[in-house]
This record gives sequence, structure tokens and C-alpha cells, in this order.
Amino acid sequence: MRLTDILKPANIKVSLQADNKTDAIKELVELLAANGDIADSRKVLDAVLERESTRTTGIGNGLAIPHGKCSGTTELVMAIGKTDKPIDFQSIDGRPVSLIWLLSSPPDKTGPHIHALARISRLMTIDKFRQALLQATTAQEMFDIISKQEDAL
Amino acid sequence: MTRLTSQILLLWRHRLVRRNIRILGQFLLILAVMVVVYSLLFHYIMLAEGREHSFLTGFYWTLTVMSTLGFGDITFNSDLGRMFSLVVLLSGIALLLVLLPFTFIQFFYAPWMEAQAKARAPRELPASTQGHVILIHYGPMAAALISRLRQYQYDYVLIVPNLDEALQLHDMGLQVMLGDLDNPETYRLARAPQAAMVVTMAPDVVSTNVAFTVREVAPEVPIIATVLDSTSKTVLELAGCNHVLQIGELMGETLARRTIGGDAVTHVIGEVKDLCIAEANATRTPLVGKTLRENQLANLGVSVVGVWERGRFEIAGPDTVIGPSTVLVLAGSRQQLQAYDEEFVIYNVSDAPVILIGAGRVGRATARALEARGIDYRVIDRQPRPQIPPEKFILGNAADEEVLKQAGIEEAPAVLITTHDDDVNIYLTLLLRHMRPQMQIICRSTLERNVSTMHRAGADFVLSSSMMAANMIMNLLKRANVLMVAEGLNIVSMPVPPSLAGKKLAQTSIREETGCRVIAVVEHGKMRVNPDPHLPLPADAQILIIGTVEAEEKFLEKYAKGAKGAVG
Repeated sequence: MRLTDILKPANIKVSLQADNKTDAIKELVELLAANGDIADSRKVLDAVLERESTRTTGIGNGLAIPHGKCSGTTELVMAIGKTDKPIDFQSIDGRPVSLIWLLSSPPDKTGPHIHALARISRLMTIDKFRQALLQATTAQEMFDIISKQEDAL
Repeated sequence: MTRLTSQILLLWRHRLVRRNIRILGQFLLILAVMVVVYSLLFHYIMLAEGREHSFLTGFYWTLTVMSTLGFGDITFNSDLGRMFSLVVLLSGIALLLVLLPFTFIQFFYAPWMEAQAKARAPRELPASTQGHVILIHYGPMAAALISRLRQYQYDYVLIVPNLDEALQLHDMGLQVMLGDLDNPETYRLARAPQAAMVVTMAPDVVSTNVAFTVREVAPEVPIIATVLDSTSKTVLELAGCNHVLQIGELMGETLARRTIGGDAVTHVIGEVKDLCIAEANATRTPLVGKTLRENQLANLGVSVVGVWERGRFEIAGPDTVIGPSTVLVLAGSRQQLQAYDEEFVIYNVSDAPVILIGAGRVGRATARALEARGIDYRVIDRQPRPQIPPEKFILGNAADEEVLKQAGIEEAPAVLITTHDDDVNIYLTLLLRHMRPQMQIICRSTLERNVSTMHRAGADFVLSSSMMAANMIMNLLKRANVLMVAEGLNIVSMPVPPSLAGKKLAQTSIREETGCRVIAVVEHGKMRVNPDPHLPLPADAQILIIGTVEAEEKFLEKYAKGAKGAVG
């Protein structure tokens, strides 16, 4: 599975306006809805927030991977956002988050959902890749960085 | 004294010994007749010389001359008398000083010593012997197994082909029997058909012959063999072994499983029908620092049956606190485990390779097991190992800081020390713990007695090959078809004991009292994984319990006396 086969440059936002966790997630869900990639943004938002309420998806190193499964989408979809200012995500290392990679899939796509999550988490362990994403200024630039890193995997 | 009498009696019972003693008796009789004849001749020759001595003096003179004491107080003056003295002296030397000691040694002392040795290393066991364990080849594994067998009061016998070794082992307090390992008669005399099990820990080729030979006299007895080489497994199975334990491979798998590598997802370690038992690292997940109650994992459907903490398994309860290096043991269906993975796949992801020190048999097996788990690794060894991919191999001394740095010691989440030299392993554990106080250190120990030393040196988890083999064999012995999901951790299936029939699990204190946990109920062929504790246990159902060997025993003792468990 290639993440760049699922991710579209249009679903990458280099400058999220939100200054808190819930708003940042909402902004990314709305971006997916605006691009017509999800059928029901309410359901997707509820699913992601519900998952977030059980335990944080802030995995440390300034990253968060909020995700949820629901019938609000028919395909596995994803969106990425960079925050202007780091926001609190109750991350496991206590550090605020500047990069958010959101993921949602229909309930019957557990396998690909887990697979995509694993791949994102793995990519994010690469320091240089993380730094490059944080320094990118356009959505296309971020998309290219991800694509290049996936080639190297 | 009683011991001496019994040994003499034992000696007398033996036909060959009886014959020897008869020969010794005849020799002594000839000697006595000679002494009497010489005494008489002494008397008459003295009379011829004009002197008269009593018969007792004749007897006295004969013995002093024959024994070469020759006090010289009584001597002959005539040539005849002196000639007679020479004859008595020479026959005395021949009979008393040479023949008598040899005859005594040959016909009495040696058989007596032999009988004594046989009492210590018999060549057969009493015909009534049964339910015993026959062991072949003494080494660290056999020593560990014997200590377990004693603990659980099993009779055993170690068959040794060599008398000296047998006596040495007997003097160490072990039950031994002398016999050739490739002779069917040995196993007949060891009462193999009535034995509970035959365990061979000899080199693979010897074990093959042993298995074959045992099968000739005992087609039914379970035969367990431990092997080093994976290719020997098939051969030993063909030879008639019921279980072949590849200790190197098993060590590698277990060491790899204990590695807190780069993930927090579940790894299945055992399955019974729909029930899966899996392990998952809690490291760098939001679970750390909270109790199980606070973590609410039950919402995912899985149940945390226990936790591994520094190599020790403990049954988990709602108040169990998850630590930074805890490994959870989970029970659930495939779907429930998937739900867990979905929740935890994003945590503890690291690409930094773990370091493997030593690429011998165990080291290579560990590397294969890490590969299978998708954990990247680097291997350090002092000699070239073509079996390891070159990009993963570092040639050098693991005690050298430069070599460790080259392997990535500064980033590695864990290091596995797998050499077979316990001294080296203790040294490296101390060194690495000093360099990286937070890193996970997993260590192999060859001798069971070094396990606690390695823990004190700073190892998080120590696995002894002898202890592992002994525990696995004990498990096979105690219940032939128990499912061992991890070292010392079993799943046993049994009918609902009458004392629990109709009771709700929530009303019982099985976990608190025994350390076991009921993880599934099977009713009319349908398995309920993680059963609702508020539903009564049907009398005609089966239950699956999980726990350590000791916990399982406590459960049987308390709830199901006399019941035999089996994997259902």
C-alpha cells in the first residue's frame, strides 16, 4: 500500500487555523468534505473524536494520527495538516503537536486501516522526513516529500 | 555393619561369586593341609637330628618360615633339615606371599567391590517399577529437569553406559542405571514399557539410535528428544520420538518475543479454536502508568489475562499497573485482537534496529524470529558468520564501544545477548546497563544458577536454556496435551468442575485464590471467549483456564481434585 495512492495534495493543509485539538480535527474533516472525499462529515468527525476520547493519538515528537472508522466514508481517506502554532494533544511525551495526519475508513476496511496507520507511524519515525515535512511551504511540496520517502522504503 | 552383611549376602547369591568363593576355600584348604604336613615333617626331621619339639612348635616354625618371618630361634643342623627349610620357605613365598593375595583379590575382593558398585549403579530396575521417567545423557538440561522431577515427586532413572560415570553420578546423589544405550535389553530392564516418559538429551545422532531402540521394546511410551540441529527434528520423529524440542529455535523465538521492538501491536503466541492468546508491548503507549481498570481495554473486547514484568508472569487484575516495560498477555478472538491493533498500531513505532550479540545457533534462531516479527536488527560476533546478511553484520568484540556504536547502541531499543558463555553474558549485561540505563536488556543463560546473577547485573529478562527445556518437558509429562503458550504459561481445558457448576465467575475468587483465569467457556461446541462473569457456568460445558504450572495445580487442588485437563 502506498499512502500517496490514497492521499491527494488537495487534502493537505500547510497552515491549520485551529488552536486546539478538536478544532484542528474538525478543520481536516471539513477539508475532506469540501473536496468531496467523504459522504458524511458529521459521522467522520464523531468517529475520530470518539477514538480520541478513549486515548490520545498524539504519538510523540510533535505528531498526531487521529483516526476513526464509520459509515460516513466509503473509502479509506486521509488528510494532513500543519498547525501555525503547536497545539496541545495530550501526547504521550507531553509535547505539543504541529503535524496532524488524519485518517478515516468504512467499518469493513479494518485491515487497510491498520496497515495505513502502521505505515504512517513508521514514516514518521524518520527524523529527516519529519523535518522536511515541517519545513515544506506548499501542499504539493509535502506530497512530493511523502512520495519520495515512500519510494525509499 | 548391616550394610556389610547385606553386601556379603548379595555377593553370596550370585552364582559366579559362589564359585569364586569355593575356589578361594579350596586354596585355603590346600594351604592348611600343607601347613599340617610341614609341621609333621618338622617334627620327624627334628627327631632324626636328636631333638624333640611339640606339634605346636612345629606349627609355629612352619608359619614363621613360610611367611618369611624366620625368627631363627629354632633351626636345623643337618643338610636334610636345611633342605626342608628351603622347601618350606619357597613354597611359603609362592603360596602365602604371592598366590594368597592374588587369589583373595581375584576371587573375593574384586567381586565384592563389583557388587558394591552394582548396588550403586544397578543394571536393572525392579520389575514393579512404573510411572518413572527414563533420562538419557546428563548435562545442564538434565540437571534442571531432575530438580523439577524431584520437586513434583516423580521417580526417574538416568541411564549411563559407562560404570565410572555412573558411579560418579550416583555419588552426586542421582538415581542411575548402567546399560548400553543402543541395546534394547537396557530399556527392557529400565522398564521402559511401564515408564511415564523417555527423555533423551544426548547428541542428535545418539538420540536417534536411542529412540529407535526404545521403540523396539516400548511402542507406546512417549519419547521426548532435545535437538540442536533443525534437520535432526525430522530424523528423530522418524525414529519414533513423540516430541522433538528444538531448544535453539525455541530459545530464539522466546528471546525475540520478549524484545520490545518497534511496535505495540499484538503477536499471537497460541490458539485454541477461536481463542487467541497474544502478547503486546505496553512501552510508549498511553497505557503506561495507569491501572487496567483506568485503561478500559475491555471496551475493545480483549481481556488482559496477565502481564510479563522482567520475565515474570503475573495474572492481571483491575488494579494491575502497567509499567514502561510491561508486556501484556491478551486473550480474545481474531477480531478482538484486530480492534486492539487498530487502537495501538500508531504507538511505539521505531525503526532503530535492536542489537543481537552472538550469532551462534541461538543467536541465528533469534535473528530469524526477529526477521519474522519484522523487527530490524544488527548482529555483533567475533567471527565471520556468512549466515547473517552482510548489511546486518558487524564483526568485532561486543565489549568494544566502537563496535557497539557501529551497531547503533545509542538508539537501539533493546539488546539481546545470546552467547553460550554465561561469564561473557554477565560482563556484557553490566557494561551495557552502564552505557544505556533505559534500554531493554535480554540475556541468555546456559546454567540455571546464573539467572539471578544476570538479573542483578541489570538484565530485564533472562532465559535459561536448561530451565526452558526442563519446564517444557515437565509440561508434557504432567499433561500430555496441554497448550504451552509461553515459557511456564499454559492453557488447560477441562469439564466445568462440579464445585463450579451453576456458579457465576463473578461470584468466585478463582484469580485471587489460584492465580488462574477462566478465559473461555465451550458449550455444545460453541466457544465463548472472555465469558460474561455474570452468567452461570453450565454443568455440561468445558472451561479453558490460563495460568502458570503452579497456578494450574492450585486450581486443580481447589476446584477439580483428580481431574485431568487437556486442550479442548
